[in-house]
Amino acid sequence: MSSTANPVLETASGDESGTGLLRRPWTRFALRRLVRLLVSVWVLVTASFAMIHLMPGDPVRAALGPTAPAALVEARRHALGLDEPLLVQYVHYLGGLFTGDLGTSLSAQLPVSDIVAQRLPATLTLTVLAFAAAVVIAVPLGVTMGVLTRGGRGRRTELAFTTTSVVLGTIPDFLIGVGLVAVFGVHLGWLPVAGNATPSAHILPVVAMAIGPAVILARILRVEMVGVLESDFIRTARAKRLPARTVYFRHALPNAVTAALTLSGLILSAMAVGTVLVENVFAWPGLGRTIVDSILTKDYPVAQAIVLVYGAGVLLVNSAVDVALALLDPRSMIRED
Amino acid sequence: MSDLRWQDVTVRYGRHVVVDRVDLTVPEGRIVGLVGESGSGKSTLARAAVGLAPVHGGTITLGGAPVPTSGRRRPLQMVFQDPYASLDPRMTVGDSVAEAMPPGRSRQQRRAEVERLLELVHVDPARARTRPGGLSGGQRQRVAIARALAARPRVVIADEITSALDVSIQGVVLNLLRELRRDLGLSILFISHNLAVVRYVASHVAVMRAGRIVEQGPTERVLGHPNHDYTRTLLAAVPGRRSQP
Repeated sequence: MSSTANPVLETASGDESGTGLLRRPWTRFALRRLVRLLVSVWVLVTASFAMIHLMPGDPVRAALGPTAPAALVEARRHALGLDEPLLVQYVHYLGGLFTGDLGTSLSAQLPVSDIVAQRLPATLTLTVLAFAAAVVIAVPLGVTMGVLTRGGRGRRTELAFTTTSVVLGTIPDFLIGVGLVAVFGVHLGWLPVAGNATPSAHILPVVAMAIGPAVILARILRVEMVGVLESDFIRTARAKRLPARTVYFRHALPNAVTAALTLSGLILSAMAVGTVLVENVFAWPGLGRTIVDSILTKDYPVAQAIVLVYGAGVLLVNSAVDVALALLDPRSMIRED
Repeated sequence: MSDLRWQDVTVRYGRHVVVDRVDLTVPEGRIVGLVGESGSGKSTLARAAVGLAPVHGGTITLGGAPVPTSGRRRPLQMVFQDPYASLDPRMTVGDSVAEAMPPGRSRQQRRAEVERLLELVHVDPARARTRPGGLSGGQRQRVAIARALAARPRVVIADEITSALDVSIQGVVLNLLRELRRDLGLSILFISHNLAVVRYVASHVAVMRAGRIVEQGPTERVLGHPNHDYTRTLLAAVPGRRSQP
């Protein structure tokens, strides 16, 4: 008897397909990630809203200066809605976010969203180029070091690589930037040290941001490669007499990138935030420089909005890495159950 | 003739001699069992034949010519012990099998050959798109055998291929080896420490101890009437079996 002839079985079948959707690992994974992302966004938005209210004293008075007339301060407070009850301000803030209204700059008297839109591309360019450079350096370096030091070979090479990478990885990127400016900008005069007007102006800030993450990523990749190259399936590939490049890049590398990918997500997030210091070293006209300027001039709406943008960027990158990891290694999302 | 022959072969790692002047032949179309305790040098002897262990002395020939250790000709193929680790976890079963095929075939021909090989080892060809994680241990080991066969080898070396499998699955894999020998005329070196499975599949057997072959001959003779004390010790160690006088 077919199930379609029996209404009871039909109902059972329908229920099963409904719960069946929830039983699928991808559905459960997507739901978990969505809930986590929404909670994180809410925490981020609430924290950035609270920022202006947790400042000691009156932010408007601080922004306008101690000699500003009380009427002007009051008028500005009213214009910013800071004289309304906290809950009302919070609701207005959330409503503004949904319509792209991030408030008005205290110093420039321009919409904050315009300032962010104007400065964001420069920061994105710097971050993406630095991340791409880090990956381009790290992958061949990590794979080569893994191959050269597999199975206890090349002890001296391993020691030299580990020592160099530890030293380079622990120097903060802005210090590397200062060093690069001193050598290539001031001493040799080969490259411009400020702004982003020409392609050559991108080289020093990108290198300053990429060196540390590249060597850290290469170290992780080397360790993973050494482990993977000891695997039975690599021995099988060698027994098949596959060309070395096929063994390393088709079999070993895809199995070695999981840890590096997780780390690269963290690195990308850290790079985005790291632009704050590097942009100031290289006078880069991006969000990093703007947030420092806005803090110095006590322009809280701008600082608040940029914190929000950086936070959203970090959340977005982390979510993208989670999805990429699940695609690369579907077992990772099942292990979460 | 495509006998696989080790003649006076020595393998060393530093000063440690792992295989010591071994002579062994796998005749064409036969299954030869190689038994011995762990560390006796069985796997190293096999790996030396496929270029995975350094040969210090002696020769390894196939059909009278040295076994090629470079290039894409792969007349000798190995199947390894652990079916859970010997297949690339990120590659589909079909890709793993197809990768071992000699070059010069169209995509369609390769797909058809993958299906034929999977059928040959009694794995549903529809599983070609599955990754190894979706298969049982027995299925994975049969896929590993299909992968080895894809290279059109003259000899297959099966290195402890049933050790990691349940007893119920071991029989399926052993019967498959017997079928392949019978239907394809394949020569097989079957390495194991399990005398019962060697007796089941092999017509000849060699006993290895501390890097040397201590006894070899037809399976019934060696396991039924052993000449060497070590063979008798191995037989006595089989649970539920009384030692031979």
